[in-house]
Amino acid sequence: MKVPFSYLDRQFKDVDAYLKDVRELVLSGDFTLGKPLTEFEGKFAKKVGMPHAIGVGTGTDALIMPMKLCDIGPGDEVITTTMTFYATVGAIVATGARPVLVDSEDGFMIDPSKIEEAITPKTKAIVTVTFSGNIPDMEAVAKIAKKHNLMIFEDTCQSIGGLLDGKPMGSWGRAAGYSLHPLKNLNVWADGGVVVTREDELARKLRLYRNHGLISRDEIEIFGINCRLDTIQAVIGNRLFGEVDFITNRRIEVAGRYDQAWKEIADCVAPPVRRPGVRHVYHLYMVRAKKRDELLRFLNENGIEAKIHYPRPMHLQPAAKVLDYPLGRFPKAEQDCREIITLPAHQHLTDEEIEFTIRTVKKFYGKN
Amino acid sequence: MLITNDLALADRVRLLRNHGHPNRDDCVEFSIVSRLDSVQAAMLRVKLRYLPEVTRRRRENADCYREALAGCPGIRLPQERAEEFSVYHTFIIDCERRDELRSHLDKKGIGTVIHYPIPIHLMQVGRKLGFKPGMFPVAERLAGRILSLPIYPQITKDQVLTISKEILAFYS
Repeated sequence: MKVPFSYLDRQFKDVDAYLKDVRELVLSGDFTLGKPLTEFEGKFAKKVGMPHAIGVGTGTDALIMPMKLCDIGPGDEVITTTMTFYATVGAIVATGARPVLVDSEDGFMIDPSKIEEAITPKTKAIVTVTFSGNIPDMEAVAKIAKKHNLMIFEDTCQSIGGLLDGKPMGSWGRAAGYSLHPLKNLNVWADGGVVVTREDELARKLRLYRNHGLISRDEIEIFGINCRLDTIQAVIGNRLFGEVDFITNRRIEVAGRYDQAWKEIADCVAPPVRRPGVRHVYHLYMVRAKKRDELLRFLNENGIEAKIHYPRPMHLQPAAKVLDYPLGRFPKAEQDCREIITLPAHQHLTDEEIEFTIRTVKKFYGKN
Repeated sequence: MLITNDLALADRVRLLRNHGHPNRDDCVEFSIVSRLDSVQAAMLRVKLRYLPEVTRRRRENADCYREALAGCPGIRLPQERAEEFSVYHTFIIDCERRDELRSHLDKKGIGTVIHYPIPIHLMQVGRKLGFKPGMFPVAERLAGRILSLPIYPQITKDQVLTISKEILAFYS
């Protein structure tokens, strides 16, 4: 049996309905911004529970743009976690600010107890990351931010549908950035991103900034960039909204099945702590596993496309040489990167595939 | 689309447009992500076949305007220097009584646009940078005189001739 990591062929098996919508768009010639994007932004804002949603080029842009508009730039420091995807750090670097990294905690989230020691007079903001779809202890981060007068920006690229104590992403920061990349839970056919915010003025500025700063055809209010969510992708997104609840709920269900199964082999496979109040949407289903590399090989050999997200934390990337963090600086993340494994847990897995994956993991440890 | 003869620059751009990661697990330079959509690339791959024809038609329309409007008082037409090969993304004429001409054409059902009516240094953003009226007299003068005529490949020779006739009528 093959248990693929990607589900795109299954999700878009019946592509005609999408192509019909695209055809309609092409015939309308409404290629930039336009009605489909406005519709998408409205639906997205409603879905994630925030007043403003602004479609931009990528999830990375959805982080860069609000930071820039909140005056983060050269000479500033921005704190984030070393346990993340490159884009979080890339976004900070793109503003001109210096990224300052801190260690992660048991749920692979930024460790709030490590933030204060990273604060300097140059620190201007903290970027929290909902890596894997889990959510950091935002109340603790917000307390620190308030005490030190820092802004928060939320990298929520991996947690469409995520909630913390019933509150939507973006509730703690000035803005939150989502990604619509093909492997995200709400996935369009290319790169895409959405910024959400409660701030009216920031939302207005973002809409200007993403579109050259134009207030009319003939005049600009600010020097902007061209970083709009593609209207074709908005068309795809609009049709996908019908699936979002299924996608999220099924992923949560699959993760629950896995979590339950590992209880019998708790000494070999351990999910991270599941904090109450977190609606984890399982963009990635990550666990810690004994003999990780051998397990990965065994699963791959048996047709299960398990992966590692990621084998190296940010501070040990070649790109981080200039930041000068030694090996051992962030022991929790370093240890986790040796133990984590991501299992296929997407919405299109069949029950047989889930059972096969569980059996194969147990078989590897000689426990079935 | 960025084009360059510089191989090292090309490699660097390829890296930087994609998170600065040359493979899945390593990032050698923290960067942005700014890739041309594959969906768009698939369409452009087809459109590319039509590009020579598109260019040919635009150039043909430009020649047609130049011929039909030769000697027309009150206007100056774009000229190609010998070493130049223009693809006429726009066909911008420099004309007297621009706004009147524009509304005359509009009444005849001919759409024109202005690229652009306010030079950047005279917008609020430019003034904030300290620029003042009179600093760039050529651009300021032309901003009140330029008009872009329809030049796209789908308009016919007959339409170009009709537009030209209306312009001639306006100035005669």
